Order: sequence, then structure tokens, then C-alpha cells
Amino acid sequence: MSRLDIRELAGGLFLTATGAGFAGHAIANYSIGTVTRMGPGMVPAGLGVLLVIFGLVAIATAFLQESKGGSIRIAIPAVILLSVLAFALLITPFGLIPAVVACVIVATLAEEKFDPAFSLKLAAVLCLIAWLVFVVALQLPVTLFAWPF
Amino acid sequence: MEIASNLLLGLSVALTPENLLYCLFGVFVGTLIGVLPGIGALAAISMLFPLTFHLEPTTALIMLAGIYYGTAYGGSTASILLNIPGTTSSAVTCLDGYPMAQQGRAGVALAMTAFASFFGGVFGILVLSAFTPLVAAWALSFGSAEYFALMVLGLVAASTVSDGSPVKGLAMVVLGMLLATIGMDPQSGVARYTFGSLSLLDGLSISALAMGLFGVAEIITSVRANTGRTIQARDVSLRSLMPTRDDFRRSWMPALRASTIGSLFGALPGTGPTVASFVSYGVEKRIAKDPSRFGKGAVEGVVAPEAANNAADQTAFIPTLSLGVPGSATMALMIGAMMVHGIHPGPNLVTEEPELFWGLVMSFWIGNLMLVILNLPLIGLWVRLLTVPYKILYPAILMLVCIGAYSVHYKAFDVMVVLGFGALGYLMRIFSMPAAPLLLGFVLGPLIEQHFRRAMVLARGDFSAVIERPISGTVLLITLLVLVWSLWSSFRKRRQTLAAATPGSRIEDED
Repeated sequence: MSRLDIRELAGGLFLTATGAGFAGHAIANYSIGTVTRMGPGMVPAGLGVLLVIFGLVAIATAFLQESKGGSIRIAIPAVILLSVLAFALLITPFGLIPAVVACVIVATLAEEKFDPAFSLKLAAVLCLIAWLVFVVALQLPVTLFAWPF
Repeated sequence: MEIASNLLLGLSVALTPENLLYCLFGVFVGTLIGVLPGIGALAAISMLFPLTFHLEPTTALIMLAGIYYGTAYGGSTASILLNIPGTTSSAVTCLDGYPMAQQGRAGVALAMTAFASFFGGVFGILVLSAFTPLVAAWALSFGSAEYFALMVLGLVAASTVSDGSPVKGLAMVVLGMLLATIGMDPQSGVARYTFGSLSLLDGLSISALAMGLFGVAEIITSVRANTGRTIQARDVSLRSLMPTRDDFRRSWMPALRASTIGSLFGALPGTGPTVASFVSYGVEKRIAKDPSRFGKGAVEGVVAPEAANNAADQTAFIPTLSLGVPGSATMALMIGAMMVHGIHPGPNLVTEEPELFWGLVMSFWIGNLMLVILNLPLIGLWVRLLTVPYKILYPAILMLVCIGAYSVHYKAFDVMVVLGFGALGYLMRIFSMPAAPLLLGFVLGPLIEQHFRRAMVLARGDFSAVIERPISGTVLLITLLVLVWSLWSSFRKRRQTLAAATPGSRIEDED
């Protein structure tokens, strides 16, 4: 076991990079102003620097502790995020029902065994619920079906 | 007679059919969410948040608050029957609730929980209605320097007091504040970090942020995480709910003590229902004549944490409604809901919006009463709900999240923001960075920036003027003490764990 926590190190680098990005962009593009009359860049630049400091502290502590281990899941997060993406891409051109169907079917791919019959049934039930709740009960102005071509 | 007329006004608001309906809906959803492990109050509130845009502000708050305190009732059901806390604030209830269920006294435990929750809730409401106007009256003289100091204290306390690394908590607050700067700067009119995108000019939406961080990220970590766990729901008949006279006799004083503890911790920034439930359990165990009964099904061990967390749920509204300073991420969402409707919570809220304030307070009474009714006769329904498989649940939640985000502006862009925050939330979980401080920073960030800039103008750029004002100076001193204490104690803990070489586990505290 090496005395370096890789995960902690990555977290620290993430904080440092994010802080530096925010601060750098603020200093380069927005006026900082003076303490009495602060410009729009002052607060973001200050916060960015603060985040860099916290990131550096996290990096330093990463060298003082051992790795805790534990696996990081890749496939499941990707599938779940894809299902949200499917909804986002389909809702405007195709309407609510196709977006819900795509979202639900992609989401069920995260299960250990993909069961197409179950996914279709669940998608159908959830479409019905979505229609009842959002269109019938709440009367949101969403199109159910659309055809962009 | 002013109190009486206020209460009557509140009652007349809370008893309108629409408000009653949404109150019932809120506590029903709250119980549902509380019962189901793996989805918390924050995820539920952020999912239903977009719905409230179409409601009256008072009705919206009544519903959101109902979800919030409803989860505390529901959370204990999973704790008692399955030994899995439905919410973090019900985690302690497992210690004696589950042994009671194993001894065949599950019904009694559930009934005593409902009574204790009601007792704690009512106690908290009384404290809330007595203290909010007082705090608000005192805060009327506050200027920007005082607000700046109070908000900094709130953020520092909320991100460092709960367990986990205080550095990471603070880093998340700062990240939240940075994300809040995206969009048009209200003071100079300059578009910050929009990169020419018109959708970003209004800033990131708080509902999309919360749904991504707490809804999507939660699903990512929960899917297939608990396969192989078979859930055996116990049969709970109505008859078995009846506690004995001895149960009641033992419970009075613990309920009263725990409600007091809960009210205190609920109102303080950084502590909340979870801390309150742990502390009150500890107190009861320490002062008990026979502490060995605890952990083996002592009724006090169920009553104390449940009374405490419900009292804390109610008193958390004191700083939120009197100062506009939320003590927790859930309260930050409440503030967000008010601001969407153009209401800025602060000391003037009680006097300028009496319908909203007293209506909300009176709805808490009604909601707590509804919860007792919902929880006792319907217990069989909740028990059966525990057996709904997650593979049905999570696609449904994802669908609700997507439609909810889309329905705010009818723009696919908001769904993309949810996607981005879902990814960020998962990344943060990998790095064990807490998400609740980020939301707090996101809500308080613009207010802090505004008060800070104004205070510095008034002080002519001299920060020592802020420190020299008695109230802001004292608050900042307290903030410093909290900061030093939490850094020191985390440093000590780190050395202890290094010496013992045992990896500590931590639960995400999301109240």
C-alpha cells in the first residue's frame, strides 16, 4: 500500500482546476474594481482563489493517507445519464411520449438482465402516468407527439 | 389579542380547500419518500419544486414543507421494520425500533413513533410561532454587514459541523457560490460565465441543480447497489398498534426532553434533525436508570429521536422565515421557492406577509394531524410499499425529474443542466464531497455577494468596520470559533483513524 490516496488527489486536482478556471476567466474578462466599488469580477475571482486553496489542501492531505479502495462504477452512471440525455434530445423535436419511452427504456438497461418485455410494459405505464399527471391534471402545455420532418 | 387574530388569520388561509389539498398531497408524498429507502427529502422536494411555479406562493410552501416534515414520519417506518433508515434523521430509531419489531412489538413501535413525532412536531410549532416574530423584530435593525456575517456563519456551520472533512464541505460551499455567479450580475449588468449563451443569462435554475445533484446522482449510486436484499414486510395489524400503559408512562418525559433538544438544534445553523435525534438518544441513554435496556427495544429509544427530529424539522423554519438565512439545504430550497415567487424572506416577512407566515404555521398543525391519521390506519399500505422493487422505482423517478426540469421553461436546455449536475453529483460522491453545502452556497451566494458589496461601500472599503459593529463582529467571531473547532477536531479524528488504521464510514447527511 502506497501512502497516496489517488481518489483524494483527483478530487483535489478537480477543485484546484475548477477554482483556477473560474478565477482566471474572471480576471481576464471582467473588471475587478476596487474594494469600495467592486466590479463584477471581484467576488468570482476571490471565490476561485479560495477554491484553489481548498484544492491544494486536499492534494496535500492525499499524500498523508492511504488509499481507501472501493470500485468506481462506470457503466451504470453512463446508462442513467444517457437516459436523461435521450429525454433532453427527443422532447423538443418528437414530443413527450417518445421522450418518456426512450428515457425509461434506456434507464432499464442499467439492470443486470435487460428484459425487453418488462421495459416496454414499464414505459407504457409511465407514459400513461405522465399523461394523466402532467397533461390531464396539471394541464401543462406540452406536445404529446410531434414530427419534425 | 394580536396572537389570537394572527392564528385565526393563519387558520383561515390554511383551511382553504386548495391549501388543505396540497398540504395532504405534501405530507402523503413526504411519507411515501420517507418510507422508501434510497430517496431522501431533498430529492423529493427538488422533483416537485417545478410544480410549485404554477401555485400560489403560500400553497407552494405549504406543500413543500409538508413533504419535508412528512419524510420524518415515514423514515422511521423503514427503520423499525427493516433496520434500514428511510432518512438519515431516522437512523438512530433503528437501534431500538428494530429490536422492538423482532420482539413482535413492531406495531407498538410504529404507534409510539407516530405519537412522539406528533408531540415533537407540535412542540416545535409552538416554539416556531413564539420565536419567529421575536427574532424578526430584533433583526429589523440589521444592515448589510449583519446579514453578511449571519450568512457566512450559516454556510460555515452547515458545511463543517456535520461529519466528513470540513475542508471539502467549505470547498463545496465555494463551488456553489461560484456556480451561482453564472448569469447576469444584478449590480453591473455584466453577463458572467455565459459564453454567449442566452439560456445561461438567467443563471442555472435551482430546481435543475437540485434534481441533478440529489435525484440523478442518488439513482446512479443506488441502482443495483442493493440487489440480493430480500425485503420481508411484517404484517402489522391495527390491533397490534396499541401501546401499553407502561409504554406511555415511560415516554412522557423523554418526549418532552427530546422536543426541547430538537427545537434547539433545529434552529441552530449547521445542526438539524439528524444531530438532534442522535443527541437526544444519547441523553436518554445517559440519564436512564437502567441504560442497558437501550439497544434491546427500549420504547424511550424510539420516542426520543423521533420527537427530536420532528421538533427540529419545525424550528428549522425560525432562521429561514425570520432572517432569510437557511440553516440547511432543504431550507435553502424553501427560500428558493419563495424567491421564485418574488418573496424575499427576512424580518419583514412576518409583518408584511402575515397570510403567508401564519398560514404556513397553521398548515403545520394540520399537516401533523394528517400525518398521524395517514400513518396509523394506513400503516399496512406503507409496509407493502417497502416491497416495491427499485427497478420499477428508478425509471419512474428519472421520468419525473426530466419532465419536472423541462416544465420550468419548456426548454430542453434545463434537462441538459440536470444531466450536467447528475454527472457532477456522481463525481462528488466518488471524491466523497457532500452535495448539501453546494446547494446552500448556490442559494446564499448571490445574497452574500450583494450584502458584501453593499457593506463594503458603506464601510468605505474598510473591512474592520464590519468587524467593529457589535452584532456582525460577534457573529463573525462565532464563525471563526466554529471553523477552528471543526478543523481541530477533524485533524484529531484523522490522527486517531491513522493510528487505528480503520476506515471510517460516513453517511451523507442531507437534512
